[in-house]
Amino acid sequence: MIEHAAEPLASPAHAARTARTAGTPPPASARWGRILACLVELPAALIVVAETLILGGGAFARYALHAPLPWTEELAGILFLWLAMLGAIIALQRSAHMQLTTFISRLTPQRRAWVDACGMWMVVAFLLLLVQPAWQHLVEHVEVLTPTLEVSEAWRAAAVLTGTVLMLVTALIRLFERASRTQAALSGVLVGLGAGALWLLSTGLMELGNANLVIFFLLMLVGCVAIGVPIAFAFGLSTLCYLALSTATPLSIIPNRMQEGMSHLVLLAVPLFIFLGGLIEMTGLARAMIQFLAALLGHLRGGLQYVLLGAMYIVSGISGSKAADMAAVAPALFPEMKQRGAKDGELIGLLSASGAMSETIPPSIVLITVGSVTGVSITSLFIGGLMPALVGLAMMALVVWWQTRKEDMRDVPRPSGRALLKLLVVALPALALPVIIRTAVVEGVATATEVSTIGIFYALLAGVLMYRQFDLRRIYPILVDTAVLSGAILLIVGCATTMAWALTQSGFAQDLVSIMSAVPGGKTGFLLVSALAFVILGSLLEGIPAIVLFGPLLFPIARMVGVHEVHYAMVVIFAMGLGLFAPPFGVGFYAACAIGRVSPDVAMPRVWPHMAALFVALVLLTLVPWFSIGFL
Amino acid sequence: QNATIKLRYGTAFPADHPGTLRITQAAEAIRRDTGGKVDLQVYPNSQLGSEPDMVSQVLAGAIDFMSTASTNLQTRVPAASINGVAFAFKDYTTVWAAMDGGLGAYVRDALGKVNLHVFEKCLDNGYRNITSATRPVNTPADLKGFKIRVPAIPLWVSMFRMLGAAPTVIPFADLYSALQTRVVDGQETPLSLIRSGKLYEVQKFCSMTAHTWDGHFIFGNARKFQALPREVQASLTTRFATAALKQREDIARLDVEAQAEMTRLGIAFNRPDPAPFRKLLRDAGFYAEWRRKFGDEAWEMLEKYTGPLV
Ligand code: NA
Ligand code: NA
Repeated sequence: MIEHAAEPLASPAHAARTARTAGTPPPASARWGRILACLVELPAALIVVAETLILGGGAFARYALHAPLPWTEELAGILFLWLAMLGAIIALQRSAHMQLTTFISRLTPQRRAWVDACGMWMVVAFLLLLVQPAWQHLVEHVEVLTPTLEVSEAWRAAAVLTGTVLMLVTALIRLFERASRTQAALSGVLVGLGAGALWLLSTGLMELGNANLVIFFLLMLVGCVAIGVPIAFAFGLSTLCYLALSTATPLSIIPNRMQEGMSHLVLLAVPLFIFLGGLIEMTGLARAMIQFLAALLGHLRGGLQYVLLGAMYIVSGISGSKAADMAAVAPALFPEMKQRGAKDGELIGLLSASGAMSETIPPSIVLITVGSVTGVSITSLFIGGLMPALVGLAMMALVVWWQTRKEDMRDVPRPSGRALLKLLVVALPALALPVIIRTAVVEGVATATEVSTIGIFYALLAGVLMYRQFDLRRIYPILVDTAVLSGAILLIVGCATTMAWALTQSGFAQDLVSIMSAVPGGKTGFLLVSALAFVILGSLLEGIPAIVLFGPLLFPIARMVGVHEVHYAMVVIFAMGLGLFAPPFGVGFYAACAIGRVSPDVAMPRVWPHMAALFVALVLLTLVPWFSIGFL
Repeated sequence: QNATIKLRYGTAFPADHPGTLRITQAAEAIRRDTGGKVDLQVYPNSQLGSEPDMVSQVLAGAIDFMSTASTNLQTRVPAASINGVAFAFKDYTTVWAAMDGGLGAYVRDALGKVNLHVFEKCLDNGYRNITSATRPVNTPADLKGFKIRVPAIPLWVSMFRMLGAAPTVIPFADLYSALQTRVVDGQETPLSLIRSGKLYEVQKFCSMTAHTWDGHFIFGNARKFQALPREVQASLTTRFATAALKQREDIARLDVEAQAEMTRLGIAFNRPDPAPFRKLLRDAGFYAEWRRKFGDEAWEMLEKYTGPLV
């Protein structure tokens, strides 16, 4: 997954925009930015803190006091929906929603500005059309009481309406501030004409039946994604148009499904692990661990490369977020590796591939999402994910061994046993964290959702007491970043849930089942086709959207043809990771370039050995279920 | 006039559950009855959404029909969940007398006031029983401090709290792993769910407490139902009723099979005496409290079939 790292790579045009913004601060945006800061950012940050306390407190009351609190789940769920919507608003303000920039980044700045304006009008169109259904959704829920707290369901539904309205305002301000008046007006007319044409055609569309799926979910969706409309909004807009123009379904189904998609409580682990990832970087836990590994292996040929692989494996087990993992590991190692003669491109290959490899290491956000949308036990996924990543790691170690077999190591000193021991002692609290998290889940201290709070309290304590590195002023930005990242991810989950509903009720799901279960080669054939499909989907759509959209449709088929669902999950996630981190489309690849400060053009020709290693690992995982389910 | 009417039916039952299979059969019969005019599509396994969410969809008109436990309707109509009162129905004869008789009619009527058309015969979801990994439940003393997973239903949370247990709300999707890792000591669901959720893999004991009985109402959006042609309404009404009666027989058979199969897999069954549980609840004021919440009229209707509870 690429998350906020996507932004630095929306390169040339974005850089131009930033320069412009920096030169003369646009007054409307600056004012709106300040309003958002009070109205949205502060509550979002407070909710992250509240969620930590509620979930941590709930686990404590149940495990330590033997007095479970039945209301914690519901309260956490309501706050979570608000967090997701508030985060999505800030993400829109900061351009942090996931989008495909591969095509538009090649345009000249002038053309790019036109395409961006059209894209932003699409976002505006979706939000504008969503306001009325969101209001209706709210009205429908005023009289309904929540089961446990017995407060009005409107507390939940209001989050969707608030998010829609504030995102609409944000989108409009951004549109008029980034585009010239002519651009904004002309592109608005263009999008409006397109909408009008579709509306006029709607009686004809109703008679087309499922051919509409091609029009809206292939042509329109792919078109939107290609011109850089953030993926969540592309999902939402094509679903809304499909339902409004070719079916008689009431549109309040859209906020309804969005709300449910964003309400799976297990997804609450997403913001909490993102927060934990920020904390381990800030408190110095990550650095202490890397220093120890570097002292241990650094004097070997390719030693630092092995350290990078190992550190990614371990850090991944703490933080749920890929961007946080790469940001914690790469800057600490890259300078020294370059000094020893490692080529820029190879480093990016290594970082990219290790990013893909660690997608299955618990508590990865992708694992949590798979569990929440398919109902596969998250604990099983957490246990099953360790080996597949190890297979990927072994394959990559082979590449490192080959590439560094001639490295000149004469000048590299070997640390004394004493120095090593000292570093180990310093690194111990950091190395213990993944073990603590795993033990807490396996021993039933906390559920997979709650366990992140244990990590957070531990990292805070370790940071304050042992590493004496705890900058209170940095906490607030980390909290807001957490909200932004969660909002970006959850809005996609919400919109994809809506789209999946539209696809299911159209009968497409049943068609997909009959096509996929007729794939020749039985289990293996089905697995290979799925792996291939997810490499492509991961590359074009990114991981989370692909999984949320197709997981609920494909997992039941996997069960039907006799594939263990944990095995299937691992194959699909690994394949998706490979697509995500493989150039030229994979956004993860560009994130790695951004974090390693290497130009994508330099890196691209040199990443293939690592990608090949991952591919071999993927084939092994597909053919040998034992790697995934041998330890369940 | 010849255009087909597409109707959507959603349920949380899995595709191979009688609660889905019998409705699929009914859909075929309805197609025949109406000369192919009505196409009722059945979406099992919560494909269209969770149960509370499908209720919203029915009311908004996004889907047409669904079935769900009465306890999922209580957030809209408090009296709907009255059949979930602890240790109310001593056997199935009492259950069907009440649900096909005055109590069912009372609840259907209450649901009609929020624009839900409820079909007359409800589906059987079975009595709920307690499973545990640590010890069988024979008397209320065995529940002391017992961490038990319950769905987010206030009626049942209060029941287990008054029985001295520690009720914990966990979503069903997380239940298996919560039992496996001992986040909770046990759980309570009908036998069919214990089997289909493979909960027997992580539990040792099944105590046939039969503490509540759970049924599924079949219902749709009342205004949309009234707008359907008369003969379509009639066909839906008859076919859903037939489906429900057959489904009840299926469940009776499956319960016996499930118990035999799980015994073979090493689950120890026991059948505790409900009297001490009921007495404890009565002394703790459970029945008095819920009589207040459901209202006297609903409560008297319940006691007409169960005998005095308070
Ligand atoms: Na991870
Ligand atoms: Na789920």
